[in-house]
Amino acid sequence: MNEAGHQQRALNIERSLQDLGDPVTHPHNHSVLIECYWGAAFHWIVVGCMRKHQWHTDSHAGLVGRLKQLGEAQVAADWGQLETLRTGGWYTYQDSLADVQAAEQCWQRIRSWATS
Amino acid sequence: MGNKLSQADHTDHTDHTDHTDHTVRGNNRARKEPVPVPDGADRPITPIPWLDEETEHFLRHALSLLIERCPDLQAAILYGSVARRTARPLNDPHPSDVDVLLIFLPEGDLDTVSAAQRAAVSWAKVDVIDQYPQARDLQFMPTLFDLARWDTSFIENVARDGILLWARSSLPAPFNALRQGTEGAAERTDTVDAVETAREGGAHATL
Repeated sequence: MNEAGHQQRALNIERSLQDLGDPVTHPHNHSVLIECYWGAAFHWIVVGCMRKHQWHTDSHAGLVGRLKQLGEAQVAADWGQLETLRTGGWYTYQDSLADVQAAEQCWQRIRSWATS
Repeated sequence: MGNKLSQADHTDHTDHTDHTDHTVRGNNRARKEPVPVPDGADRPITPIPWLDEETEHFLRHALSLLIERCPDLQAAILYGSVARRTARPLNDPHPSDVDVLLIFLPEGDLDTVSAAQRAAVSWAKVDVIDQYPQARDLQFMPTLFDLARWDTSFIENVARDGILLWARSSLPAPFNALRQGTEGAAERTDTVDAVETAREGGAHATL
């Protein structure tokens, strides 16, 4: 997938996030919302890495270490948090409103980085 | 003495419009005044003899940073396939991660892991990960001491298979049977009872 494709995937997932509604009134969507923030952030990371470092990946395995190698420690830390939130939300029922908001903040920072 | 928050220098891409302090890899309170090294910070971390050397060093390094930076970190418990000694090997196309449950005291009156605690957990790994390129990945899972909102089967699994890597003081009730060290990890058959006791209003846990 090229840069435009990754960006479109991110935008599509963000539309899905809108469709899922307000997490305050739709608490049953929390884990899916976290998953979507994780997915959108991944595609924005790929976009950012292609733009800033001419590096592409289609895998999230080992991404924290690779981002650190690229000098993107803040992005690595945000991605690391999203990985933890995703695991917690999907597998251990840790999907409170605060967890959704934490995922949203990480996604927002990654998106800002990728598009700056 | 105290925290080492100022040792690392990272570029901060944060736009500073949100309310989370992402420049702090520890406790937000630590930047305002020196935090003394708390009791238990110098306790040893349990070695895991069957873990490869590089991953062992990665785990100990990242966990040591967390212990120094987070006075509210109470314990670290190894769980999952590495604890059970069923991990996929490093030369597998998808080697198993190292799963570690991190038990924090709540920050203020929060009933969930705080943003600062989450950031500290993530930064402890990021700060050292490039020193261990061949290591297994670490999956740090933060939670609060009361274990509220956790699936009981997950707690039972951790209580049964977990290995206490480090603790500052007491453990949540379901994990009281855990002992620091790797001896007898598979012999803790009383832990399901501990979970049941906690569910009925044990001293520490609210399940």
